[in-house]
Parts: sequence; structure tokens; C-alpha cells
Amino acid sequence: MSIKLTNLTKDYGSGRGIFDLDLEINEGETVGFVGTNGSGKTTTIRSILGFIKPTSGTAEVNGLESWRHSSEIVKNIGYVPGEIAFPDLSTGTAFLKSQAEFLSVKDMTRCDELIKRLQLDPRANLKRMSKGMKQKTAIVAAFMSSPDIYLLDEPTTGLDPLMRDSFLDIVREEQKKGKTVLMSSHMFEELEPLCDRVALISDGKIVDIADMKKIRKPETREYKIEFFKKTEYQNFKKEGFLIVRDQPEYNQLTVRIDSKDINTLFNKLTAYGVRLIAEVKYNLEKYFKTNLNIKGEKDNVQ
Amino acid sequence: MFSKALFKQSVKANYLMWCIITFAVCFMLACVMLISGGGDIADVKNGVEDTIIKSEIEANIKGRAINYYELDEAALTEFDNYFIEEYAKSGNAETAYATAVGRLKQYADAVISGKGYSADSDEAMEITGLIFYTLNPKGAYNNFYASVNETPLTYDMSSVTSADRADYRKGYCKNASAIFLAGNMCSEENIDKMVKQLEDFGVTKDKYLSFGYSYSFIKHLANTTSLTYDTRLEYELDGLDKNSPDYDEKVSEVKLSLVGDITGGFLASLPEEVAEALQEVGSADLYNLIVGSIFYKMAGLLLPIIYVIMVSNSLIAGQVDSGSMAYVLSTSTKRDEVTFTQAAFLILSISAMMLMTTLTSVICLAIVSSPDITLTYGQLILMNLGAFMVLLAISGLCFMTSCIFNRSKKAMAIGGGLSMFFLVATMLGLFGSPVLPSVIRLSALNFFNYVTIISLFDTISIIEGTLAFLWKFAILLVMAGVCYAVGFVKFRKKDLPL
Repeated sequence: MSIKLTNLTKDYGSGRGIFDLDLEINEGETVGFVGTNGSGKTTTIRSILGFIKPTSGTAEVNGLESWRHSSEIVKNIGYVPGEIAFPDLSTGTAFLKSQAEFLSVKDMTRCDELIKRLQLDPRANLKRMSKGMKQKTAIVAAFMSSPDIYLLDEPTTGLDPLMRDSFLDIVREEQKKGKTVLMSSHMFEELEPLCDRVALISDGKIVDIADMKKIRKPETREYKIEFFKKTEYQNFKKEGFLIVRDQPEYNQLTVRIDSKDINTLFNKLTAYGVRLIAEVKYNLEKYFKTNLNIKGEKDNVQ
Repeated sequence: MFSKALFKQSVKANYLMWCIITFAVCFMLACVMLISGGGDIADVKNGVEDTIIKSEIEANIKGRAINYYELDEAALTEFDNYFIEEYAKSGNAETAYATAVGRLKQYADAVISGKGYSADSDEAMEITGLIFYTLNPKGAYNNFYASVNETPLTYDMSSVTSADRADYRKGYCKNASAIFLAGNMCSEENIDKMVKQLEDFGVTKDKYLSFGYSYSFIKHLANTTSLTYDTRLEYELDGLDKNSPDYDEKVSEVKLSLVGDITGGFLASLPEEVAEALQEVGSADLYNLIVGSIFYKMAGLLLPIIYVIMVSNSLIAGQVDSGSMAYVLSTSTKRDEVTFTQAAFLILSISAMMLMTTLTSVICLAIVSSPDITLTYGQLILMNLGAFMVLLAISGLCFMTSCIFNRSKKAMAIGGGLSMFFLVATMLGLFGSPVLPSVIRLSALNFFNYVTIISLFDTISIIEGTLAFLWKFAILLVMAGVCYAVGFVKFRKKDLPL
């Protein structure tokens, strides 16, 4: 089950919409989708579901064009909308039952299991549910038929940190089953541990796609080292390491070295009086910041 | 094409409103039918009708009274002349009287043939009877006077040559003709004749008797009428020049206008438009007007139209607006399936609602079955069908806007706004429509009847039993079909912000 976007464009006029998106999500892959509000995440997901007709280009799910085959492709998709609004039914239970009927799900054990794991009380009145409860109900509705593809539009909004972890666990289990996931968020930290790739979308265009493997296992690492004495600080500067940040007022240096040269660094350091040593984590945020800065500079130069 | 789950969901979401609105409509309908059928309306209508009929009958009585009096007066004047002539010939009062009676008989026959009646007609009997009962020669007709509890009259011949003989004769004739008229009109046979003539106006014998035309009433009326006639005639004749060559002509003219004046019926004495209007009220079926044009075409449509506006909005546009349609469409339910199921729900719910009103109305009509109500069960069912057709067309309109717009506001504003406009235009149009009696009709407002589709529900045609309402129904049906079809196509093609 794969998703393929080819030159996908939906122009709402005055610069809003999505433009020339190219993205391929392979079966079993989890792709994150980050971007500021209004950057086009939801429009992309709606196009994949076939709810909106692209101005040009195509969205394909499993080789089927989304707009024309919407009703067929959605069979395999579990969708958590970004804006949760339920049908005019009394309680969460009624909604989930109705949803099960729509999905022709007879066996409610999966549903009950999800309810238990998310600690949801579905007997509550749908109208009086809190944001978090609505979100949980929507998640249960999307996951209970065990579809092959998940389109999750900011699925963790409103969830408390504990529930967010349970939810991420559930997604992880689905990943292990080989399901394809496209999850949008504006929080890097929740995509990081989950995704194989993360696409950054800005003003309707995919700016960059980060490969999480590379971010998780970076080729270079950075360490922040603080020395007791000024003399040691000055001596270390002469050792020949690549220094990316120099803070003489604290006797601090930040060095970048190849991952394989870590031992060399530590061996050298045994001769120095080190007050503090800490690895500066390389993460998605940093990745995009550095990458976009470089790109931005390039653009400026051009 | 049909999604059971979605249908169930729509039922659950809307059944409460359906129940409340249906109950309210049926309750209103029952109130309208039972209360207005309970007599109030019939009373108003009958009141107007009775006034008209009574005044017509009275005009008739007055006319006859004058007629009788004139006949009598002329006959007795002749009789007096005969008597004087015969008495001069024979010198014997007895013989003169007898011969004069004989000549009077000839005079009566001449009058009858002069008026063109055959000798054995009812009219001939009436004229002969009138003249001879009045004269009552030698108490020959005392039994007539006894039958009406009057002392038998005797025409006094002793004062035949006195100067004030004419006054005596007139007074005698007035009294006699009044007695004869009253006695005549109170006889069973004549009452039956009268009722038969009045049958067309819905007057039964009971009703006629309830008008209270008793012997004494008629006698009094006849007396005063002939007195009025006589006095006014005298006054009018005084003003004429007796020597002018066309004197006779003028006299008959005066007489004619006097008779018209005195006997003029209620309707004849009113300005023509008012008279027509009153006749209309009399002939209009107010119950049909209230049940058909006022309830089924207006008041009774209000709540179902509100239901249609709200539900058709919540079935499509509301769900797209809020985003809950995502849960339907992300479950492999096709868009066509959604529109078809929701349209089916909408139409079925309206049908069920109108079925309930049909039942209610039929039960109510069975309860109020009064003779004044001409509404039949068939007409009543057609009324319900008409209201259903209107609702079907309006539901098509609202459903179409619901399918076209993603925002409830817009769908409601356009679909609902138009629907309410149609209803309000119908209300305004009613005041200008020909179903209202012309006195209270504002014909300028009739314009509104041409801008509302509810006019295609032709209650007049249904009541009158013509078939014009059928093709109008067909137009409504086509409108509904087109609207639903446009809605289907638009919804299939549009972007959904889900």
C-alpha cells in the first residue's frame, strides 16, 4: 500500500494551496509531515483521500487515482481529521457503533482494546467531550478497522503527554505490522522517534525531506566541553579539532568530530581537567534549521 | 446506492425534531378542523345567508301584499259601482247585491285572463279566492276566517254612497288582503311550495320555520306595507297634474317605483359590489377556505418547511461544514450513496409527516361531519397530497443548496430564505387571491401569487373538482426532480473541506 503524489497542485488563489508536490510513500513506511499552520498539510491529506480535486497533478493510493476512486481507496485508509467534528449522535459509544457499521466491522475487540489503552470513556456525550476525549474517540474510529494506511492529521493535539505516549505506542505497533503511515504535526519531537522520513512543507511546497536514519545516526557529533582552567582551554584549542562554537568567558568549546573518532577525543581529554562534557544532540529541528539556513543563504546569494 | 448505516445515523440525528414538528402540525390541524368545523364558521356563514334569504322572503311578502291590496281595492271599487248601478236599476238591495256579485265574478275572470292566466291555474284560483274571500258575500266564506281565527268580515253596503266610502273600502281591503295573504302563506301547502323554491339556497323546511313567519307576523307586515304604499301613493299622486295628457302613464310609473321601493330586497337595496360580496360569502365554503387555503397552503406548511430547511441542511451542508462528513466518506461510502441516502431520508420523513397529517385530517373530518361541510375525504386527501408536493419541491430546493454550499450559513440563507419567501408571498397573496370574498380582498396583493411556487398547489381546483391541479402538481414534481438531480451532480463534483 503506497501513496504517490505527482506534481500535486491545488491552487486556492492568492498563493494559498499546495503547489507541485512530489512525494512517494512506500508500503510500510512512516512519513512525517511538518509545517506551520496553513502550510498545506491538511490540503495534501484531503487530496490523498480524494475529497478535493487537484488543480493539476495526481495523488495516487496503491496505483489508484484518488479523486476518481475515492470511495475505493478510503477503504484501506484510517483517517484522523485535523478538525474533529462528530455526526449528530448522542454518545461516543453510539458514534463508534455507527462507525463500525459503516466500516462493516463486526468484531469490536480491537475497538475495545483501543478504548482501554487510550483510557477513553466512550459513554460520554459527544457534544460535551473535551478536546482530548474527542481526539481519542477519533483515533479509535480510525484504528478500529485495522486499515493498511493511516492518514493522521495532527493526531496528538489535545492529548496529555501520557496519552500521547500510548498513542505513539499504538502507531508503532501498526508500523511493525507493515502499515503505511502519513502523520502531520507541527511538533518535531513526536515525529522524530516514529518516522522513517519527515517532509517539511512551507507555503504549499515541500521544502525538504529528512531521512531520519541519518539524523538518528549522524556522521558527525558535537560535544560541548568546559574546562577548569583558562590555560587548559587555550591548550585544547590547539589540538586540531573542528571547533564550531567558542565561548571563552565560560572556558567552553563545542567541537564537531566524525562519529568514528570519538575515542580519539576522549583519549585526548584525559589529560585535561574537564568540568563538563555534554553531547549536543543532533535532531530534526537542528537538521532543518541548518539545512534551511544553508539553502536560504544559497537563495540569497543567487 | 443506499447506505443503511448513514440512513440509521440520519434517523437518530433527526427523529426528535421530526416527532416534535409532526406532533405540532397534527395538533394544529386537529384544532383548526375541529374548532372551525364545530359550528362557529357555519354560524357566521349562515348568519349572512339567513339575512339575505329572510330579506328576500320579506320583500316577496311585501310585494304580494301590495299586489293583493291593489287587486282587492280595484275589485271592490268595481263591486261598489256594480252595486250602485244595479240598485239604480232594480231598487232592490238584495237583487242588486246578487247581480253585482255575479258581475264581480266576470270582472275577476277578466282580470285573470287579462293577466294571461288560464281559468284553472293556481293563480286564477288565488285571484278569485282573494276577491271573494274579501267580499265574503253573505258570510259564504266564514269558515276561512274561522280557520285563521279571525272574526269573519262583512263588507258593509249601507254606506256605499257616502262621501268617505273610499276610505272605508281601502281600510277594509287592507285588512282583508292581509288576512288572506297571511292565511295563504301559512297553509302547509304554500309553505312547502316556498321551501321548494328556496331549496337552492340551502333552506330546509326546519330552517324556514325557524325564520318565524307566523300568521300574525305576515298579517302585520302586509298591513303596514299596504298602508305605507297607500299613503305614499297618495302623496306622490298629489304632486301630479291630473289634467296632463300622460297622467295615467305617470301614475303607473309612480306605482312601479313605489312597489320597487317598498318591496326592494336586502340585496337590491345595497350597492352592487357589497350585494355581490355578501352573496359570495353566502355561497363560499368557509370551511374549505380555512382547511385548504389557510391551513394546508399556509399555516400548516410553516413548521414542515422549517423542518425541511433545518434537516436538509444538517443532512449535507451541516456535516460538510462541521467536518463530520469525513467519517462517512472515509468509510468507502460513495458520494452518490451519501446524497441518495440523505435525499431518501428527507423525502421519506416528509412523506411520513404528511401521512400523519392525512390520518389526523381524515379522523377530524369524520368527527366534524356536519351538514354545512362540503369537504369530501377525497378532496382532503388531495389537500394533503398537495402540501406534500409543495414540501417535496421545497425540500429539493433546500437539498440542492445544501449540496452546493460547504457552509451551512450559505445553504440556509439561500435555500431557507427562498423557501420562507415563498411562504410569506403565499400569505400576502392570499389577501389578494380570489378565494377571499371581494370585500376583504386586496387585489394588489394578488401579485405575490405569481412569485411563489406554493401557488402551484391549487386548492381552488381541488375544491371545485377540476383537474387543473394535476398539471400544477406535475410542475412541482419536475422542480423537485431537477433540484435533487442538480444537488446530486454538484455534490459529486465539488471539493470537500474535510
